[in-house]
Amino acid sequence: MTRRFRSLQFISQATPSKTRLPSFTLVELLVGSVITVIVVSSLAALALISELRLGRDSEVNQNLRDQWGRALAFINNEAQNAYWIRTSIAAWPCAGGALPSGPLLVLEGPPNPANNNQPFWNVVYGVRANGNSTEWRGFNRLVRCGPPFEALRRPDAPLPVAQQARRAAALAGNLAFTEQNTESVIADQLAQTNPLQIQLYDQTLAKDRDVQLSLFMSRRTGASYPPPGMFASAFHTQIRANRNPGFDVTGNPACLTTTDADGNQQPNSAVCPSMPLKDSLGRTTYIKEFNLPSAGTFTVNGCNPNAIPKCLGPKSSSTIDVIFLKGNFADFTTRQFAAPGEPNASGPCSRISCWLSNGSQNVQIYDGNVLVFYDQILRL
Amino acid sequence: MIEVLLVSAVILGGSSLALRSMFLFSEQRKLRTAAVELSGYLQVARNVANAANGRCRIALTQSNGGIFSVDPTFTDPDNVCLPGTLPPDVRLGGLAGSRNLKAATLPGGGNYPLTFSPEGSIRAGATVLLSSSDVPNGAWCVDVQAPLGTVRLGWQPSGGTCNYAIEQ
Repeated sequence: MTRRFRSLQFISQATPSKTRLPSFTLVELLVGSVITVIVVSSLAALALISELRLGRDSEVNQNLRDQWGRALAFINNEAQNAYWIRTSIAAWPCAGGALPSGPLLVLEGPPNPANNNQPFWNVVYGVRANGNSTEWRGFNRLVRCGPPFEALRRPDAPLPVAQQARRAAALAGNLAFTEQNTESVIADQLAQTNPLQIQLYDQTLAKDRDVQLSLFMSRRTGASYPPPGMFASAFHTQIRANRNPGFDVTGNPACLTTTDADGNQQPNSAVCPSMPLKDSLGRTTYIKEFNLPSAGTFTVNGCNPNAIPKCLGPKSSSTIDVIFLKGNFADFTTRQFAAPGEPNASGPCSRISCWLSNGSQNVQIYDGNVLVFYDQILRL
Repeated sequence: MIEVLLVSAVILGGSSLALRSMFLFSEQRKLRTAAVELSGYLQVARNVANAANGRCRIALTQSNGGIFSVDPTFTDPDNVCLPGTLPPDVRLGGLAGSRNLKAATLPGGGNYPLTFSPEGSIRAGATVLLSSSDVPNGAWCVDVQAPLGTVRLGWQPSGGTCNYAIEQ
């Protein structure tokens, strides 16, 4: 027997028989286990719920952004069918609906064949409050009142000359629809305050072909998307009534009749420059010719940005849709969104803004629809 | 021994209640999974119509909990959603792992087809209700709104209307 064991035996004998080492009973152990299980399960459940909520939040935010983009794209698409854009209308054109109190976006269709002073159709966008309805999400919803979108479609790309008759027929058919106005919801997660902001580009006009539109969305629990400050920093969408220029320059014998020294067709300057052309439906195309190359910078459809009231860019009262630039396309070695130093200058040339330069000659074009060069026609 | 049995009985009783709740939760999640899958499929159909500048019609077949696929009977000359042009059909029951899933399209409760236009819009919206006999307290709603073709998810409590605010 080792010395250590003997000493333990001595301690054991010396301890009174009723005295036991402190220990847990079975019940205590079970209760402890149950408490531990409950605590751990609760923590796991909380973590799981948090994870699920996070996942759902991301999904809902993504849907919000998606809805925002689609709503703007839809309005933009529809505006291309319009002749003019307004921000007011006397009455809500859908039966039984009150005129929303906030800002309105009114798309005005082509003249009614029966009465040229009246548009053939109006599509009106406004904002209605959701209240506590569970039918809608967010604080407000964007509503649209007008004929079905499909009824307003227009032929978009210019068709070859041989198809002009077909295009005319399509236009006539387009004007013959008998669809009723209905109210529908475009987006239902609009922000609580000022979700829709609309401004005519030329604020001296009652109607314009260009508006600056901002749409702000929000969940009931979340912040505005996009952040409100972005409006001040020029974050907006340009909506353009684009139906006017249905004129196909390639199909009009009055314009491309002469040929240059290389045998290319070029504008007949005796007929085309600065002459408004009208088709049978009342659409007008204005044409402007620029002699290039020469010195200086031209601005087409532009205005003084420091004018009061403020002019935001294109000036619609003098819109020129078809612009003849007397030079070959390749002569303009720089073709970009805006002049160097301007915001988004190096972006691609677009209908909103196009800056052309051959080094010494610069042309800044706003709202240009068709650019005609000696050697080709560019439809923006 | 009695103490152990008593404690075990209490734990088992509690667990059975928890399991029942977990089963219901799991079945509800399966319904939601089906709703999310369907939502994604409809958005793909919309995008295809938009991108190909044509029309796309999706129909429901009552089998395997509801099968959504391109409509083979759609004879529109602008139809761009022919069989094989979209991802595989959405078989909701199999995708969600739910044996008792049932899909019905409102209005009418039948197999109301959804037609997306070249602009990606839809002229007549519809709501698809996804229910299961394992989830007696309600159904998930997948709502396709006209004219944008926006897809929303909502929960319809038993005997109530679809609540879309639940997903915000």
